[in-house]
Amino acid sequence: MPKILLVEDNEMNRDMLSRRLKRKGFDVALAVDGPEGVAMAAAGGYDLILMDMSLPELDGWEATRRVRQAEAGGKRVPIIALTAHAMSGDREKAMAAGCDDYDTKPVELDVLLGKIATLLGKAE
Amino acid sequence: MTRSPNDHDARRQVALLRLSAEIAAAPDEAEICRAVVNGLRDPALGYDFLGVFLVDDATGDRVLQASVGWPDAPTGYRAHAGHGLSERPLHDGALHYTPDVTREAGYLPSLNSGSEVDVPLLSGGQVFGVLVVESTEPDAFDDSDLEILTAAATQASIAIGRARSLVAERRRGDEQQALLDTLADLSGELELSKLLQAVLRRATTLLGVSGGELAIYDEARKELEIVASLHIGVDSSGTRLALGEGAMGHVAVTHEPICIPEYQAWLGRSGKYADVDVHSVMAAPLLIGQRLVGAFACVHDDPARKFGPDDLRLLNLFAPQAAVAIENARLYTAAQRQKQYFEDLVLNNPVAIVTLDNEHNIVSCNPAFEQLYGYAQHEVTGRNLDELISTATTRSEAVAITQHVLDEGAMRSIGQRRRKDGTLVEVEVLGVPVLVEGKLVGLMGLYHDISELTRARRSAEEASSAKSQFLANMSHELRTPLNAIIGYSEMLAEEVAELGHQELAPDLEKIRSAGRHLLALINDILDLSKIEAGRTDLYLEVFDVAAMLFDVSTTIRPLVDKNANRLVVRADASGSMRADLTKVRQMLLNLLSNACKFTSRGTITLAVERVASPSGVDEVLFRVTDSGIGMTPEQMGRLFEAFSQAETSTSKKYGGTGLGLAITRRFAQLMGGDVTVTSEPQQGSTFTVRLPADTPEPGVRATGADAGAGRSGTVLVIDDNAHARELIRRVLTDEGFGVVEAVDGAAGLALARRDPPDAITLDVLMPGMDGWAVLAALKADEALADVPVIMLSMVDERNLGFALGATAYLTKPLDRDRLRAVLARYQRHGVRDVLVIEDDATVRDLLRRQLESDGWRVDEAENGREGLDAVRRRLPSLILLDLMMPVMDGCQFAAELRRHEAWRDIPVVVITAKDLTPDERRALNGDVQGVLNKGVFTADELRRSIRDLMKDTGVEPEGAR
Repeated sequence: MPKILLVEDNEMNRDMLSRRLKRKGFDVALAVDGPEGVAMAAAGGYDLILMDMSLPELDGWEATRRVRQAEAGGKRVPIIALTAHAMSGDREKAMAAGCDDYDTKPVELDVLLGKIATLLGKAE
Repeated sequence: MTRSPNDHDARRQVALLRLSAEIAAAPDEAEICRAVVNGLRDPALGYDFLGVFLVDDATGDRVLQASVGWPDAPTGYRAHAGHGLSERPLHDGALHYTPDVTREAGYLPSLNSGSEVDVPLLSGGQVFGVLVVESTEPDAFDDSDLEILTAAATQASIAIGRARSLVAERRRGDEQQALLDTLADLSGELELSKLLQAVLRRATTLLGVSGGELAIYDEARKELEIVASLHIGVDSSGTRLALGEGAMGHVAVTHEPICIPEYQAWLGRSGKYADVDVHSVMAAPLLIGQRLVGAFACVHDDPARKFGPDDLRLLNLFAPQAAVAIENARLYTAAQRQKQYFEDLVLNNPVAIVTLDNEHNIVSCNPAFEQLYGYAQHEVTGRNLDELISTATTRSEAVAITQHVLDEGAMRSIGQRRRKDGTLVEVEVLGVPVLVEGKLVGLMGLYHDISELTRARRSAEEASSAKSQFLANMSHELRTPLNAIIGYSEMLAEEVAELGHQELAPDLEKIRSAGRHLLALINDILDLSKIEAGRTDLYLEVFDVAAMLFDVSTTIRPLVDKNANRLVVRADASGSMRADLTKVRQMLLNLLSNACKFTSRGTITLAVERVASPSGVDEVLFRVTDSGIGMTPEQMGRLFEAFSQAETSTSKKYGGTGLGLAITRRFAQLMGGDVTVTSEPQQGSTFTVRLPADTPEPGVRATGADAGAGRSGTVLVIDDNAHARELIRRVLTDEGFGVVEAVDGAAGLALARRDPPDAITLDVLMPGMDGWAVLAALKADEALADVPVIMLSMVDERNLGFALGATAYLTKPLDRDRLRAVLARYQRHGVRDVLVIEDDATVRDLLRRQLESDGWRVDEAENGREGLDAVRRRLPSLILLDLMMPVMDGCQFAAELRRHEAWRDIPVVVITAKDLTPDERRALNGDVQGVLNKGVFTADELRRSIRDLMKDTGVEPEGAR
């Protein structure tokens, strides 16, 4: 069962997305802010991370950078950036920060599942 | 007197002759007087006392000039008016004989108390003296004595008269000379109006006339203007005379003086003098060489006086001197006026102006300067300007500007200067060298206070930034609840399905659908408002068109299926293009979703075609054709306007925001293309998106309107790698930015503090102080905290390649299509010789096979040295170059290649490893404005990033259009 770490501060979004992913057969762990997300990622054991970008204090961009920094040559966990800002450039920014893919909220579950499947397939 | 008459007569005759001779020999008045008394002192005549008195005009006294027979009476003895017998001839001009003086009431007892004769000395009917002759005896004079004395007096009168007129003549000559001399002195008087009056006054005195006029010649109007007038009955100053009009007009034409005996009878007279009582007139032109500068006229009001040759002679002496004096004064006045004019310009100029000598010391400054800096002129004169108004941080810049102006010429700059009270002021500085007769004498500094402008710019930037922030926040705040609405409704729908409550599904679908619609609206409004605000950025990248179309068709599939339509995609030989991928996708999705909405059980075609536009630019055309309901021409008219669907009822029936087409068209225009439509009702519609295959950099077009509004910016490049600095310098100077380089963090900080740049590019990995430490120091410095910083991680090979002059780059593993596209771009006129320099035999082999299958003739080399040999053997039209090679690496090869004139233009495509190092993924701190990872950035991206940064701060490259 693939293990997904969802880093999301909004309770409704967290609840909704985790429930839907669980229903699709994923094992979902939750982090409510950047530092927790970074800490949990560092602890390891996840096949993929869904990272909300607009987190308070430590935002998703920075959290992603820290996750990548902590990996430092070790196993690289795919990260999908989730952003509510459909601004041009967010995709490039996410890639530059070390994300592997990017999706906008509200997520279309099928699209997101497709991206997750692709990245998990690559990782194997 | 008792003597024989004959003897007496003879002696008298002798005495008279001797008298005449002595008088004639006398050189002056005193000698004449002496000759008279000496000549009459003859024993034969028997006179006891002889004296000549002349009248002192001032007192009326009779002053003794010469005497004999009165030893006590000194020369100069005065007989006062009203006393003495000898006064009588003064009153009646007649000879008086007194036979017995003792009987006369007015007699003053003296040594000769006998008889006395007083004979007047006359000249022109006027008595000017008396010849006094006395005898100690009464009745001593007879008629013949009286006759002799009368004759002697007459001779003396004539002689004295002549001597006097000689003296007067001499005196008059001296006076004239003196007058002429003082006229020459007048040249010292340079104030024109005073000079003219003085000239005229002296001229009238000199010529002994009653009045006169002086006129200067107005070259422009061909007229004389009377500028001074003296005693001619009217004040004629300001009167203008045409050439030929009146006496002065006459001489102005003839250039010769003229004497007019009776003005009012003269044919050439001017009516302007009809009421003036003038008679004799003399006029002369005032000439310098042959050039007329004015005219002079003088008059006698006494009808009896006429001008003669002597007057003309004097006039001829006077006129040239007067002409020169007037001309000098005129030139001086003109120069003064000009000087005054320029002084006023500086004095009243709102721009602060200061002039310096060659040693940078202040010579003068204007009131605006005093006001701007708070110094009074007397405080700054002689002081060094840059020491006075620059601060420790701007000193070197200010001095450099001053020196630059003196060495190279005018220079413009913007910076901060210090006022007297220590406050700083933002100024625009213009330094201009000051040359006098080609010789540099100093410079002029102009300061324009731009504090207001700077403040306005800052607040405009803040407002703009606040607006962007508002848009971003709006987006976030609206989406977050929508997220929940859509997500939970979808989730519920899934759960409802699982639980078998199908009757709830339609309601949940309505909630979801309304949420999606609202989201689409928000997205569109956001897109549109960003376009309107000019804040839409283009992210240009090269992508494969067919792959993009495949992606789009996959995304749209559910919508196509919804109305049982069929989608046909034609993407043959579409190649790659350079555009904003996200926006192209969005445009096509908009058009396709429209097509799907308005078509039912029909065919939707998405086709792509490459064409050359009339202007020769490669274009890509995307066509979306449907077999749907189509549109009338009226409906098409408002199609691309925001919030307008063909019919208002349409949106109810078909959904959609009505913004999609407006956004699509504006995106297309933003990329230099457009969207057009053809349609027939009930037949279907075709939308065509036309885009350049290689979208020009937005900066190139977009900055047109505000280019010039900004200023040249300076970028501080802090990098320890010389190649990296070279690369960045080249890119930025091409953009018109000034570049300052620092080889390490400490140097960079020092430079930034001395002269804050407009932006900084900062290398992360540097020996000593690394990029992060420098960044922290920059942000801690209040003066530098606002300077945008672009962090660059380590230089990768690709950029080294650019630094060395590579024209393109490819990354390993090589993508065949990309390779083909790049090669196609640099292929020259059908010549297809390519040199592959690559040490890895496998890669070389792969490249060779791919290239040969595309029709290229391939040469191979294992390293740079072999590569140079190969170039020498056969000149390739293109070189593919690996950078990491033994013997001679790609960098050395490229450098070597560029040294040869004939090889310099060969396009070099650098091949680099694709993988990025962890350093390049290094965490960046939130203070960094732009993130450019060298692993993925190209020269274009650097250029654009700098440009965007500069745009935000209002700074434009000098060369931007």
